Formats: sequence, structure tokens, C-alpha cells
Amino acid sequence: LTRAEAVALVLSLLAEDDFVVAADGAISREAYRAHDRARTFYMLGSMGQVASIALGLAMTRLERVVALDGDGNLLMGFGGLATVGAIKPSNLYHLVLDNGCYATTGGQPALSQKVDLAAAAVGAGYPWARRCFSDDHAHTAMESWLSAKGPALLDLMVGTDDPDPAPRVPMTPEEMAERVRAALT
Amino acid sequence: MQNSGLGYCLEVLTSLHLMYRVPLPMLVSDRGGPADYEEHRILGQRARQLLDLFGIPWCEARPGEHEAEARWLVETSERERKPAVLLVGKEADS
Repeated sequence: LTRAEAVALVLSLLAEDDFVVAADGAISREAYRAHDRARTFYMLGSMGQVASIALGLAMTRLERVVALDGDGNLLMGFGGLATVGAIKPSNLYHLVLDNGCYATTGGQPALSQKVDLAAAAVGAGYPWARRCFSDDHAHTAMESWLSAKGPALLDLMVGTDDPDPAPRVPMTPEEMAERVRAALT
Repeated sequence: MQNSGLGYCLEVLTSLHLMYRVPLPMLVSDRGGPADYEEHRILGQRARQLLDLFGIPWCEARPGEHEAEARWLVETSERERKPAVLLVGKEADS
């Protein structure tokens, strides 16, 4: 499974009123290309803060909030995992698209090759966290993840190949924020 | 937050709050005076310059002015749709 395929798959499984926080970089661009929706916040920058932004939304909303995170991204702001685990918002669903490297900057290895992010989530207090290594099981794993009681984290291994890079999201940051703000009211 | 937190937050203050124009009232400790520990000096003594550099409005908390300061903080961040900072030093206690 490429990361873009995994992004498209998870978006196809969500309900219309779910909020999505898409990690800065390729994940946001792939989410936009696969299925643009008013209830997706596309991050540009603020690497490391995907779970924290999702947490803020989850604490003020009743709808499900789905964080589409990267492994390097999560590691950069690892404190966010502890905050989510401590606060335990039952409507927060955290997906780590784990390619084991910093693909955007040339594929430098990330510590996720040595650190079990699902075990870290359990340690932080997530009631549900699993890793998925098999493309064949990715769909089933996502369904179990989305039907678990949150906060739930799925650490999904994806490929490092990026044969068809997604273009930038053609909206200004203000337009992106305004659209999500409108969906919130 | 502690003023040392400002350093950690810069990426988020710039590419989330400033770029998307998200208001954020912030209470930040004001440290780094001559009597303070040295780990607070380098960042603490430059906190105002740092905020000015990024165009983030700030003011210093004074004794007895907390209500007006809180109002300034919320109104400024909402009006300008950006972070605004109230620097709270030891002398602000009242």
C-alpha cells in the first residue's frame, strides 16, 4: 500500500460529518487529491502538532475527529501523544501512516523503525492501539480501529514509494481555516 | 506558558496562528532579569524583540491592572486574528 492509497482508503471509510486533520506535507496533498471535504483541515507547517490540533477539535466537538499523521511528524511532537492519552477524548482517531522515514526530504530513516508507536500510545493511555504490517489486513485494521472506543491509534505500515506526487492544495491558508471554521458553526 | 516555551512554539505560532490567522491569547512568564537564573536570560531578555520580529502584540502585566490587561489580551488577539501576549513577571503580583 502506498501512503496515498492508504489516505484514500481511510477517507472512503469516514462518515460525512467526521472532522479530519491532515498532516502537513504529502499527507495533506494526498487527502485533498483523494477526496476534498469541508471538514478536513489541511495543515501547512506546524510539523509535530497533528494530534494536538485534533485534540483541540475533539475536546470541543461531539463528532469523530480523525488525525492523519506521519511517523516522523508524530515523533517530532511526541508530547502530543501523552496529552491525548492523558485526556482520553473518546472521539479521537489517530492514524499513523508509517513509512519509517522522512520521505519528503529524501528518505532519511526515522526512529519509528526502532520505536513501537502503538506501544507508546498504550503507554500514554490510549485504550486501543495496534500496528498493521500487511496490506491484506489494512482495510480490516482500519475498520477495527474506527469501531474501537477512542482515543484509538492505528500504526499502519505504508510503502516509501511515491510514484505520483500530489500537487499542493490550491487554497490559501486563510481560505482553508475559514472553510473549517464555517463547518464548525 | 513559561517564556522558554516561546522558543518551542515558534513554528506553530508562525505557520499555524499567524499563517491561518487564528486568534490566541497567551500568558507568558517574563523572566531573565539580573536576579534570575542564567537559563532564563538568553531567551527571556529577548522575548520582546522576538515577539516584535514576528509582529505579535504584547504588553506587560502590572499590579492591579489584571482585568484591563485580560480584556486587552482577548480583544487584541480577536481583532487582529493573531496571537497576543501578556508578559507576566514577578512584579505583576498584587
